[in-house]
Amino acid sequence: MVLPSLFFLGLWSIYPLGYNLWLSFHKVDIGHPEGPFVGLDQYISLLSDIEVLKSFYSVTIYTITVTVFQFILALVLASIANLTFKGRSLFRISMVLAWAIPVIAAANIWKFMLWREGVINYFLMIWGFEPVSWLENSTFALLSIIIVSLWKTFPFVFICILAGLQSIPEYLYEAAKIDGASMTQRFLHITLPNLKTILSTVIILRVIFIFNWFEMPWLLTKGGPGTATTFPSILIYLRAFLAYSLSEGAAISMLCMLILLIFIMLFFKLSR
Amino acid sequence: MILRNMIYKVALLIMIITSSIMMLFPIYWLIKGSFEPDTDLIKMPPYFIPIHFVTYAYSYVIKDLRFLIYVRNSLFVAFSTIAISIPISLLGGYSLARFNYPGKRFITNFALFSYTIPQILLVIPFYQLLVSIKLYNSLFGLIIAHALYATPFCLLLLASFIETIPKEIEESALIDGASVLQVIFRIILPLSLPGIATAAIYTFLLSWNDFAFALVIITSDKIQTVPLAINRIFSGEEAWWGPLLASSTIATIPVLIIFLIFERYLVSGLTLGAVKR
Repeated sequence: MVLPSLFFLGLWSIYPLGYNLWLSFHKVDIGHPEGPFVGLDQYISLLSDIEVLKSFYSVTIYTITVTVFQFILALVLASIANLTFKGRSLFRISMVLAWAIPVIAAANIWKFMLWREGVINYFLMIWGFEPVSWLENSTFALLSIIIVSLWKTFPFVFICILAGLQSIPEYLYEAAKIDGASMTQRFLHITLPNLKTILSTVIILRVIFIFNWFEMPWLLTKGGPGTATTFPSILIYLRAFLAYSLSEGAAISMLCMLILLIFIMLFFKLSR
Repeated sequence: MILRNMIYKVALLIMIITSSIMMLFPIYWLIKGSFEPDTDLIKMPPYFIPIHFVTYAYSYVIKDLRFLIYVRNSLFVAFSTIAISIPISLLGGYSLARFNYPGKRFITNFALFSYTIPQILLVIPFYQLLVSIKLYNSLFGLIIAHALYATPFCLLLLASFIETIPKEIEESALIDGASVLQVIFRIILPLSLPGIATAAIYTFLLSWNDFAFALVIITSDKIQTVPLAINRIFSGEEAWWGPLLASSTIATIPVLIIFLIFERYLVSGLTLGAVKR
């Protein structure tokens, strides 16, 4: 009975990974499925390719910034949502609504808001700043993608942390209150240790997701201006489907997997 | 002490209001903008409360861009994906929840692992797979990709949902001479409807919102899905915002309605993959 699902899982994970690995050792272009074996040549030329190295550098900045801010915000706001106050369920819904919005719609909304004469520049101007061409300037393009990604991916982390907070028994806090623990102490000694498992799982899920996220950066900047926001996910698409070199795309995918694997192993080692 | 309490409450209130505005304002701005004439969209300062209400961006999108065709394509893909991935995940989930066999633990971990595989790493192998079975540039190819995409999560969700159904009901049915299939159809199916509904809604959202697979798999105009069709509307420097906002609103509204109705189920289901296992 489980066989059909097992078949689906295999087709979803083992086949693509194996095929990517095979492709990365061959030279296969779109329309020429039988390419010669080239061994590690592909990897060697990619690792000496400035564009590739730069893409891994910029995606690291992107992933770290989005993950860190997302967790700080989610911890604070989920703690608030866990309190009892009037309109609490309304607050929760407004926090998670963005999760459901299609990426394409989210990207268009933000393009419209970040536009040269959009509402965000309007606010900047009232507060006395110079308007910024958000998506056309390399520094600001990265910043824009970070802000929009935060907005879109924050809800998932919020939901998970809120679920974790709700599973912490109330009496722990009450006992601590009686013992005279301050709010910061309660947070550091009750909330954080109890959230540890959830936090580490969700951090890993998030890092994997954001590191490889193609849709949002592509829809906002297409990797531009220049190569400022050309993350590996975008390079995979550009090399494989616009430059027709499937093998190069597959090799970049394998590099992404490798980096994430190293990250996950380090993370588990350090968090023990 | 009272003063400190007051400050604390005001600070909380400010945080609640600002964060809600940050999260909701873009959605308001999208829907508001889609009903404004072009001249108001590029006006500086913008109208925060619209003063003109027009629908010609919508009539352009629906009549001139024939948007309903793409809506139909997207719905067809989403419902077919549900029709494939839900029965398969239900069978697998039932087996994981109820039977003991070697490798069960492995299958659960395997599903979890599959759940974390990023989409972009799969795009190239799937492209080649669909080319070789001649389903490239077809809605059926897209349906296969989406069904595979949804299965790991639906399997985990349904397995843990079925685990919460008391075993005794099935056991007495089996003693009364019902077959396993009868048990699934007569007992498990009706009892796990909330779980199935959650998995189906999740699958719908995943398929309706997907852009990356569609971008790689679909090339013909006639069979584009909604996100692809929106992506083709020009959005350059002096962008023509009206159609862009109207089409994005069309893509967003069904999702918002579904989300607001099923919010409770979706939110509790979403944490499954991350929190419970």
